[in-house]
Amino acid sequence: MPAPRRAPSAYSTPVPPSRQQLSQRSRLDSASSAANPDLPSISVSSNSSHASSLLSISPIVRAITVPPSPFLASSTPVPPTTKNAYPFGFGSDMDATSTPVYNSAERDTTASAQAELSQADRLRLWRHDALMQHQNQTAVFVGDTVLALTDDPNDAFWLAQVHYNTGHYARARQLLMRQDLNRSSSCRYLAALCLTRLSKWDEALATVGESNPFRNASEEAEVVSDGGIKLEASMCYLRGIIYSNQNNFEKAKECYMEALTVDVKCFEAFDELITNSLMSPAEEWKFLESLKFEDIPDGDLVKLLYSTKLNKYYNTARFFEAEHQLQTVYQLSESSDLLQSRAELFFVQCRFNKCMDLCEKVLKNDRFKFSIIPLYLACLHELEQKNKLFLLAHEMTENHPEEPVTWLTVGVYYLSIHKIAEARRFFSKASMMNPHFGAAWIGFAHTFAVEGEHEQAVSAYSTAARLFQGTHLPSMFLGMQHLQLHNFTLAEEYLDASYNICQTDPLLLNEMGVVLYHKNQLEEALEFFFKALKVAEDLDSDTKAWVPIKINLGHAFRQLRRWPEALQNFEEVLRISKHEPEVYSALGLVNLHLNRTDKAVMNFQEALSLAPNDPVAWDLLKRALEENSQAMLNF
Amino acid sequence: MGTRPDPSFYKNLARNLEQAYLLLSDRCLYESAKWTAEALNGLPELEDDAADDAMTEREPDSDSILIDVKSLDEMTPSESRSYLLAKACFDCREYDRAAQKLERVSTSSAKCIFLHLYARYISGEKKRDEQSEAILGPLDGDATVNKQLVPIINELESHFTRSPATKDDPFLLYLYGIVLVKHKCEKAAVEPLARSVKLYPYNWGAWQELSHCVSSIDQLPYVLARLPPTHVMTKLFEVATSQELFQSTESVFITLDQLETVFPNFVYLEIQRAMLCYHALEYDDSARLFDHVVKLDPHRLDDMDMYSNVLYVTEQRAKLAHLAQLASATDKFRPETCCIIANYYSLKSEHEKAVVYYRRALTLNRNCLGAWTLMGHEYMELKNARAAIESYRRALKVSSKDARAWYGLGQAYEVIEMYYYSFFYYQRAAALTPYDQRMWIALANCFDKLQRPTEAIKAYTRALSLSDSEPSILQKLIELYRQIGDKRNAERYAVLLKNSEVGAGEGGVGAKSEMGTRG
Repeated sequence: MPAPRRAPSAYSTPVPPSRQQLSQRSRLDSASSAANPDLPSISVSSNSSHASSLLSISPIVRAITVPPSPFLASSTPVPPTTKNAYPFGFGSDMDATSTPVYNSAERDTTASAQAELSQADRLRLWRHDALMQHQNQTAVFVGDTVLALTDDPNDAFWLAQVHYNTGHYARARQLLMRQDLNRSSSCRYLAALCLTRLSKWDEALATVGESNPFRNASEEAEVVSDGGIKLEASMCYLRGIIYSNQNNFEKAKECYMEALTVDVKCFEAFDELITNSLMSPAEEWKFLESLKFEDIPDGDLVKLLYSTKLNKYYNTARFFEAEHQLQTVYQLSESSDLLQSRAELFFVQCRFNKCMDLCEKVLKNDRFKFSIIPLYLACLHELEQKNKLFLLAHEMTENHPEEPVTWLTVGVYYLSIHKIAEARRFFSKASMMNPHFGAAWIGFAHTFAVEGEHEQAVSAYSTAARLFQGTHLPSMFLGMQHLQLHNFTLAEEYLDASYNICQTDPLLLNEMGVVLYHKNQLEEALEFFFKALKVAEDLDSDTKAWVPIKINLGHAFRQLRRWPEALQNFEEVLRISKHEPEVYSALGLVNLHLNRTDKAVMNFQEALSLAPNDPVAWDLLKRALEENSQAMLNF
Repeated sequence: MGTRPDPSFYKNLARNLEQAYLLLSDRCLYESAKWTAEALNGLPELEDDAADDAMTEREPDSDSILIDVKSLDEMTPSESRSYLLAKACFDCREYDRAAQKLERVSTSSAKCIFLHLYARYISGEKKRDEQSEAILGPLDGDATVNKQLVPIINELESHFTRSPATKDDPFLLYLYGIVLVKHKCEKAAVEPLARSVKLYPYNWGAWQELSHCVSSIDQLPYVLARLPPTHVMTKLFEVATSQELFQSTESVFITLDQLETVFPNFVYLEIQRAMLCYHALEYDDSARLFDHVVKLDPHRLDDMDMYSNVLYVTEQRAKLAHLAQLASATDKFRPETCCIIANYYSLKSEHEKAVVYYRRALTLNRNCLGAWTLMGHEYMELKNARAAIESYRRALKVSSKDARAWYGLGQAYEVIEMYYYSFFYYQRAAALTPYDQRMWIALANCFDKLQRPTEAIKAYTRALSLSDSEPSILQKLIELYRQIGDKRNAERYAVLLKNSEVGAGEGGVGAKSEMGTRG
């Protein structure tokens, strides 16, 4: 049974439509079909039994027949509804194709009904069935015949849909060119979509127009609450895609935001905004608040779902609230998107084990859920699960070599086994397949950073920073690179930029403290370290997150000659984390200052037993030993 | 504890030890369980009527155990099923599997949490040993660590903060202590371990870990202050720790005497006495005691490497050969056996072979303290100071209380003429055994080498105060005083030297012989 191939991605929410939604849809179908009597979906109102075989609408839908609304009847002359022309969609069949019913028994009962249809209508039904069963050749064949018979723009549109689904974008485009594009926005939309597929961005933009022509007339459109996505929103979204491919991210962001303002159901626009971090965390929340969820049915549910997807560094309380509501009120605790959001939070909290468990839970049901894989990869890399990475990379390359995330997986695997050159190659492959794939760019930059090639790392991170203006990470990595190059002023600038986007990342606050520490502004550095600790605590982070902060705190206290506090921090670090030679050296220095030479000697020896080639530690050990023998004067 | 405690005391103790055996072996703490069973058999024979009484009054003595022991074993039926499987896996050395079986339920009962984390700890230890590869190889050392330690510490701490009930589980506290000690945080480990033994005193493992945390005799009172003062287990701990700290003092022997009235047949105590005699350089007494243990319990290999040390020092080659045969007939692949054989080869001056056997002992158990120290000695014999230093260092990683290893390090660095290093190690050795003359002589020697005669004089004087005036020390002192131009003192010691040569050796200045070694 052919399930709609791209249906999940085109149709945002993975939850089954509620009864109310379904009834909404049916109303729409009947209405729109009435408006376009020459289209197959007409049969919903005129002959419901046949339509069920074709459109596979569930029984309740069939039961309801609503008279066509006058508004719709006067709206578009061409295909059914606005949403039919949605990218990757199947036209009107999208409405209820989640469980297509190809029931031969039902066909028999409708045989008599079929006789009443015109020849063109019968052919149209054939074309539609063929399209639904992915028999594109048949659909093209029949579609051509129908078009030749009727020369109807609607038939041209549907033929173009068939071409589009076959992947013959130029052909579809050419067909649509024949039509008077201005007559129908659906045709224009599809044409633009074909152009984007052909990477002809300028032409595509010319087709959809540089800005939303309906912007001022939109009040009128809002009256429609049809359950589908408004074409206007889809157009805005497409405009956003085009702008972002032209590297005009400001415009792209505006377009996506406009798409959502027009219709909050345009999840693709929301997804583009969030996954590409076009907004800062605070902006995201503000924007979500401004959206009009109350206009659509189930607005509360959608709002909650959206709010779980926002940046996890900000407003954790609201996330918990939304998650709780979704779990208790809507019983969505097993929803993979909710699990993914939870996993993202765990990742931010550095609880990598828990994050990995959740990712695996999601992937158990949906082995190739591409949206969660970058997160899962980050987790596996963090936990050094090379074997799992290996298997995942193999499965991905076997099954989905066309997806950029597959090659990201391969890159991460090579990175985790320290084969940097190979890792770089695959990261670059992933970023070539999708030039807007941020994770690939960051991975690519990491490969340079690992090898200490700071200059190249800086340029790669800069690209990432340009692509993801709303996330603080690339700027932070840039700051870190400059810190390693001892360009403290530049480092501070980048970190400040990063801080302007996100004030609640402990790692960032820590880095800022480090810069101040290097600039010898110790009191200020302390302040940042404390702030970082506070934030880590608020996020309920794992100890892993605050160990480096405590170490830095210890160093700052040491420089300020506040020995007891320094000791306390270093000792705590030794208790809760893997032993690092630097910590022992620092502890030794403190003990040396406190004249506990015997302890200092032991500390330096511990440091050297972990890192035997550290000349500084050898030097300090020598000093400690000499001082130790002086201390023996009065035994 | 009087001279002869009343029968009800014995009954209580026996019951508690029996119960402890069950608790310990149920938690896969087999070494501690073995010790407990040995202690139980070390009690005097109970009369039959006493056994009947034991049946009537089941309440254990409430003053020594602060918690309800039965509550320690509380589990839901599904938990106890998982626990059985996990324990079976653990017993078959499938540690990862054991840990995994308790992963799900580990949030609830303390017993499940314990075995889950303990299996992970053991698995981590096993993997660390495997990754370390050859003894003293490039991967053998601090860089290869048990990767489970930090996660276990973090997990336990989160349990302690989240559910207060776990904070009162003696076994979780014990595990926390173990991992902290392994993570070189002995200071932090004292508190949980002391709490663990306070809550449940019959877990010998916890006492041993606590003993590990006491790295010098000054710390012992500080630790003892946190423990139940009159408990028989505290006394045992005190004796064992003092023995490890080379404290062959009167008070330790008094406590030991008291304990032997409670446990007249306890082999462990006999060995403690033998070890104390060994530290006090009373080798004959020590050998006699060890010999008795061998006769009583010929297949008991524990601590027999110590016996071989005594035989080595007293150069009883035949007896050492016999012991080696006996041990290898029992179990060839026990670290103790390998140490005995190595000692035998060393006595025959076959140092390479000795090293081979010490390495084998260490491959079997990298925490075998004696083998590291003795291997260091062998490397010194082989003039390989570098390897010797490494061996001694590893000995100190196992236990920082080993004065012989500190002294050995000092010697090794002296050989390669790194006197500041050498000085530091002698200093540590002297701090552990302040009444051992050799340490002070070594220190003085170092000062002399460092061209600091004043300090050298001080150290020699200290050495002199610990024993009868030794001509060589006096000679050195005279030289040093001449060097700094103090003719008056030089002459004073010259007189002393002359006197001692005559045979009327005076005790050193302010000798504290009553506190000194018993030799």
